[in-house]
Amino acid sequence: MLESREITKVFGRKTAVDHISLKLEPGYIYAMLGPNGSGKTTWMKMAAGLIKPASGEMYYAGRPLDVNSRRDIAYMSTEPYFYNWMTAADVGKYYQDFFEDFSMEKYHRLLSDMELTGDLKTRSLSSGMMAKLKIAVTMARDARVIMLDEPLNGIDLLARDQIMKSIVEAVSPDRILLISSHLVEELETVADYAVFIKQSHLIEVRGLEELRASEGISVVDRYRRIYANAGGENE
Amino acid sequence: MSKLFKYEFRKSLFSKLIFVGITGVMEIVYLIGLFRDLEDMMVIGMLGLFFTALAGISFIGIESILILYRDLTTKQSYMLFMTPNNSYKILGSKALENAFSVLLSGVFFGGMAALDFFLLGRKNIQIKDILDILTSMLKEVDPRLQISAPALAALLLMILCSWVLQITTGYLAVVLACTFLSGKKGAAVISFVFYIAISMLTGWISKKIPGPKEAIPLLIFEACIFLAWSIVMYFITAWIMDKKLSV
Repeated sequence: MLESREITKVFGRKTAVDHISLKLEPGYIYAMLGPNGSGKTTWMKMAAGLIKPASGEMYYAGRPLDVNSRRDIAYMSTEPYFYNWMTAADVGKYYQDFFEDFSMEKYHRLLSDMELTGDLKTRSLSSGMMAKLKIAVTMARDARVIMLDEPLNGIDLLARDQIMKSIVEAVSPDRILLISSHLVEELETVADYAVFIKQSHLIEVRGLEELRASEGISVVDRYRRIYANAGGENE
Repeated sequence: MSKLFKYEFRKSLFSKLIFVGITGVMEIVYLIGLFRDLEDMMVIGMLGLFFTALAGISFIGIESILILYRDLTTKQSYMLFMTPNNSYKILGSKALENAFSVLLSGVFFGGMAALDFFLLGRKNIQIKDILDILTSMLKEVDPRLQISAPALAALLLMILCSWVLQITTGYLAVVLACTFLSGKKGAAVISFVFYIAISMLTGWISKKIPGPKEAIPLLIFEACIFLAWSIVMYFITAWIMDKKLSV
């Protein structure tokens, strides 16, 4: 289980995440939703151990998050982060060197599915190709927690289908999948729960089936109700 | 840690290869001058080799600080801090790689110098003048030093440790700029002033510690002092990274 308890992050005078308590259980796909600047990325980065909270704490498997948690947590940032000198093959070797759960075989298969080759230089990739490479290397890990920040950004329709397929294939009873995206409709087809974040606060966590059954609305409808005339400003 | 070390070495490989390339060109100039008895060319080659060695070793240290800054302030930081390695390992691999690279460069340039002096001797050119220059350089450090293998080794050890201290102090200044001073006006200037102040303070305290009287033991003692300071800087820096750094 991945959990944040009253977690807060402040950048200068802006509060990016404000006392968010959230529990994510294995076996489900969570869609983290909210406009730009609502705090989704900051929350994910704290869960990945990249950002230190100002207060509150992040827990993984019942223990405070530490360096060892990174063995089980895979995070895909929305920004490119590979070293400039790397090729796609170097990126795979790097992950293989540092993550025991990384499968080079799966990586090659995903690269092939995404129509990428190992000799491609990361510095010369288009944004779409870079997004595919990030997905391939992240999904090639057999991590207990996989967090994808805006994985569909800059991706063409066919590659988007491929990514959604790889996300569905990664579903496992002992794995948490957390995906943030502006493309709410795309996530509706795969997610079990929607986590709504607005202006650095957690609004609610709703089961998509429960939402349909109890209120007869889709996650898109719910999104519109929550965020109409509002936006995030703090991320 | 060996894997982190490998990637740290890779990050600065390009600049190292540039210095190896320049050294190769200068060596060719020197050898052409030597074997064709073109004195001007030989002197140009020698001077080129000397300044390339000086610049190369200095640059390796400075580049290490620049790489740390880049590793903390760009998204490439995720490549380090997503991995299951703590700040002590990450910083330790950087410091060790830098010390290793400086040492390797010293051995490389020292080996080249030894080879060139040997070839100079084979051409029956008086190398007494060169030895006199080396001796006078040693005497600049300590008038009691005579040119000998132990004296040179002790001197190189002291220079290496002194350089490692400069680098680890630089790491501390960079990490302060990226943590406590992050987002504040004049962070770079304040951290640079801090770097100068710490360098002066460590130098002042080190001079107060009584050491051996003989020249070679004194050099080794100074090397140990520099190394001890480097370890202190390393632990303070890694602790700040561990507790305060967000990338």
